Amino acid sequence: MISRAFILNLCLALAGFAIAYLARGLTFVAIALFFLVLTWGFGERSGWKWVTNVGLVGLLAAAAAGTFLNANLFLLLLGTVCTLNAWDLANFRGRLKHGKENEELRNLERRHLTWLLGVTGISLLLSGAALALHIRLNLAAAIFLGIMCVIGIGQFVRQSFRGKT
Amino acid sequence: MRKFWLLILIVYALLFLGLASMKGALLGLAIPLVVYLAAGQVTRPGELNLRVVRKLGAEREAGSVPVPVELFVTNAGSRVEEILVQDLLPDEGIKVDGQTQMFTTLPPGGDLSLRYSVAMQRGILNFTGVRVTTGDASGLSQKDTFLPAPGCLTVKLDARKLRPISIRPFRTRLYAGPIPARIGGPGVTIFRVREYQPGDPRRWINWKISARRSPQLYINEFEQDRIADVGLILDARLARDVRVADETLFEHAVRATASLAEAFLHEGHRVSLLVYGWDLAWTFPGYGKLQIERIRRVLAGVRTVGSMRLDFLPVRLFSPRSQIVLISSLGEADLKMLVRLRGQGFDVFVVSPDPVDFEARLFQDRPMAPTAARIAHLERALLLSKIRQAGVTVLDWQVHNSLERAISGVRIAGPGMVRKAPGKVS
Repeated sequence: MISRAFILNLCLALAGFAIAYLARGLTFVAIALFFLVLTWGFGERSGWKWVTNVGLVGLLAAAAAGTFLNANLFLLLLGTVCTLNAWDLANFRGRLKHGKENEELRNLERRHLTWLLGVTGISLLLSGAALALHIRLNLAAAIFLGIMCVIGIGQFVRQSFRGKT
Repeated sequence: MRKFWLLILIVYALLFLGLASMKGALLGLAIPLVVYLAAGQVTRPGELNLRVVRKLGAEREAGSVPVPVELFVTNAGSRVEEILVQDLLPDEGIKVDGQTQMFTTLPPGGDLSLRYSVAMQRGILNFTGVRVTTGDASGLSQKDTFLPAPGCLTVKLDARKLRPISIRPFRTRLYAGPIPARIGGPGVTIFRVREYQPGDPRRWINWKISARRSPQLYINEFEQDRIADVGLILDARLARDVRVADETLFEHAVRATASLAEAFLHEGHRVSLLVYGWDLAWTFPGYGKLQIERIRRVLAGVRTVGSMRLDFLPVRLFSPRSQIVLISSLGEADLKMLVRLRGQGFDVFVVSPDPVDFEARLFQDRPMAPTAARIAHLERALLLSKIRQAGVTVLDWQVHNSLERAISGVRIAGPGMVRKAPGKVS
């Protein structure tokens, strides 16, 4: 179940990015992404641990580059969300190897997929809204919001480490 | 944790890039990552409160018999989204059948159990505890915890029984046993004939001699049968062991020690055990089944360590002039100590598993092996000959033969131990 979901997300991510780039006439980028996804899939099958993070960074870099090339933002968003899902599922599959195949493990798989589906839904909703809405801000407001974002994520990291030994 | 930092790094990179280039789309692409991180934190487990209980099928078991092990983990705290419980097995080369780790979710009050069985030839398994890795649904914040769940399992040797072994040490103990003690008194075998003394039982009077030498009366004195002190010494020095692949000569020596201990204890003797390696494991002298258990327990955990010379053998641990049984593959340097033991009045019997034969059998296919084995055999034969000349009884044991068969033809009493002829009346 997890493997199928992983492949589905990887294919959707590739489709999102490839269509976005092909629409801009950048075929070689689409081919490069195809090979990156292929390497990721093959690496997962072969047990290469490094390939997961390389795949994530590579595809998110492609998404970031796509915004500069005026590629379709919603396709890039779809690709980003599916890339993140594929990365999560690859890691989850690695953790599942410690367990023995039984009903309890299948329940855990189902719960994780449900959780991931929820995260995907919220992500798409918030990101879609963020991309659709265009609010004009002056430089001071943009800098203020940027600093608030940085401080907010910093606080989040501190919160994550609270109580850890 | 690296995954967590990777995501944080990407989020920061998108933020800075978006702010620097004034591209709102880049900030929009960072949102799914932030949502993912936040959703992971929501499912993050609180303070861990787990109770672990271990149940062993047996605390002591004979070799090769699988012993069931059960581990119960109960969650007395909040929900743990992902938990990996791994039982930390002692690294003993044990065979494990079953599940020693589990990956699951633990709701409040929920429990999980690991069930498996362990089997090994011999040894002491000291279970310490379990390693618990907990994490949120994203697996980004994982925490390793060690929870103690102690347990000790002793897997004893499956020793083969030997027939009674006849020994004749110089000194025996006071209690009745199977060894002729060279002391006159109540017994079965006639020891000598002597003049009657007041208090001697009348039924001991030898009427024929008394009639010939009238009026003096003579009585038959019998030889007392007593038990003896037997000190077993197991040579656990690494230098005296031969290890080829999975098989070691030391294992045969350990089995032989267990068999000899049982044989002597069944005869009624008082037996002690000294494991001579880098450190000394000394089992105090004792009798009976309890002592068999003590010795088997000690033998379950012995290992070869160090290469100390035999010269440091603590002889004072053994009763003076008692029987010493050394189980060792022997080396040239050991001759001196054996001669000294003999000189101090101990009756020494050496069971020597043949290292040359053991190693040669495993390398039969190599071209130079027969010649090398022949030279090594000659060296060993010379060493054993020197030891025998010192009055030590040596059993050169080829371990592919059973110990019972090898020991059956050996006369343990040395040349100086021959029983005295009954006294003659002049």
